[in-house]
Amino acid sequence: MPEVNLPAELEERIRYYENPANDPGGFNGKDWAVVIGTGVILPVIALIIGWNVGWSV
Amino acid sequence: MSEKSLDQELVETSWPLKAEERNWSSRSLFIVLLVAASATWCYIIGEYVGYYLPLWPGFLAMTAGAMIGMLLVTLAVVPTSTRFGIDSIKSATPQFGSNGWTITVTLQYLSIIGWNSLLLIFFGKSISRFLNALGIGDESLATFVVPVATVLACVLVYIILMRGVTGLERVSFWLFLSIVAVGIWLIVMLLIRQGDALAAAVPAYASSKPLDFQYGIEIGLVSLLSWWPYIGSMTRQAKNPSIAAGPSMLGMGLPVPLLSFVGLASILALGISDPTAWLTEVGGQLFGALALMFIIAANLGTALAGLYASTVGIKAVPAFAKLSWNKALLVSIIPVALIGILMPNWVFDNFGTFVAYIGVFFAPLCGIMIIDYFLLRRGKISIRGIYDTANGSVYRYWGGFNPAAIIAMVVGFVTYTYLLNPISYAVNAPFTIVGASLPAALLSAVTYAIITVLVVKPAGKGGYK
Repeated sequence: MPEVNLPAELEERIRYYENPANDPGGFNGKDWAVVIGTGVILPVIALIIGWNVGWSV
Repeated sequence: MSEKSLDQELVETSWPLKAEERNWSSRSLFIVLLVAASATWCYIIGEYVGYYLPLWPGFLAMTAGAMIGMLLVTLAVVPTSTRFGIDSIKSATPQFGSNGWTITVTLQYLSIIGWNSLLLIFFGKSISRFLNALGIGDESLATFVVPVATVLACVLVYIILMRGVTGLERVSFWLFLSIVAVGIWLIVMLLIRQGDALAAAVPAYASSKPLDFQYGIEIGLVSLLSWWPYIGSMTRQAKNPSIAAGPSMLGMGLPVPLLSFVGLASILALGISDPTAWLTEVGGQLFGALALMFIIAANLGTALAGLYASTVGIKAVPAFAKLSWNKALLVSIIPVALIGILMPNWVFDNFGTFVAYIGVFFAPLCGIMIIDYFLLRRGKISIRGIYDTANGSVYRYWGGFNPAAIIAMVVGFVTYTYLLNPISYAVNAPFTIVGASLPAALLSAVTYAIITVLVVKPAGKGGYK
């Protein structure tokens, strides 16, 4: 990787996150449950009810 | 921007925030996202759905679309933004390349300018309607008052933001409460006074059930895709993805359809396309004027926050980094003022086109980011690569651009515009089954993955293992 002169403060911040101990990681199981529950299951339920709520054109 | 603390200075840069600088809890993030999302633009989103669907199907289709849109934005931005404390633009560097900000910043800029124009023209319309309620002039007054009030609002925003944003967060919360209060008041009055009209209302553009239902889903979905530019600057303040996942979905996603219910019910019951007219129509001159005062303050407050965010985004762009704060403010505000002077009605009359164009660009963008982060990179991002723009750096690709992302964006654009014409809203099959944003996001993602596997990875570009 080429060496470039980044501002010292930015360089320090990059090094901070290059230390794996400072990486908070990704979504855990509970996060996925929230995201899928509200972003997939809730819309599916809303679509089913919305389609069948009793309307026609 | 004088007397800013070092912390505030850091927040206004695009540099990574360390864990100890990121102290927002789930609760505080939830409130900030809730306040940011709950603006009067929700009334207009609901109004547009009401052109196609009755009350409950409209509300449920819009809710489904909104939550799917929020899912795309959350999966695209939150994992990278919360891991490294960076905003949406920087989060997209691994996919678009070290010069890819030219694409994402342009989209961010246009989107924020569009939404803020909507708010400030809404502000101008509210002033005009307020004067009417006081017995000054008639509806034709708007022709003169809206451009003048919009420009005056831009000047006011400029003067306030020149002096800093101290206390803006606290004010924003009260403005949020006023928007919700006016919304609840409007709904109650509609149910009391227009309940029968609401129940019997036939949407103005209703044609066929599957098509109208899909329009409702699509409008909800694309409206939430416009949170892409905003969300990273807020979720980066959370220490990890777990703090941000729930607030992102529930704080920024759910309030939009809930508040849009006001616009949906109003257009169905009253059949008037101007949201400022709903208040005096339902509440009479006195209460309507009071409600309009709240709306005037709320629109100005939300525009302040939006234009502040937009200016921070502009300052993060290398080409504008050396601009003074006041000049960067002008870059944000002048386009809004020009729209207010030259085509104040265009923004309102073409809101559907505006949000469809949001989908045209942001749906592919989300698809690309999601497939790259979760499938191609398996979450492995080089934080150094995001900031290192030298030749041969990890995300330098070819000349600073990743052709896989550019071609995938074009595929998404063509897919979307084939399925749904953003201007005429004419559709092609299979729009009524799958909509336009989801196929655009999916085909962009697949295109990106294929080009990455066949071209980018073998060329040793992009830091793929």
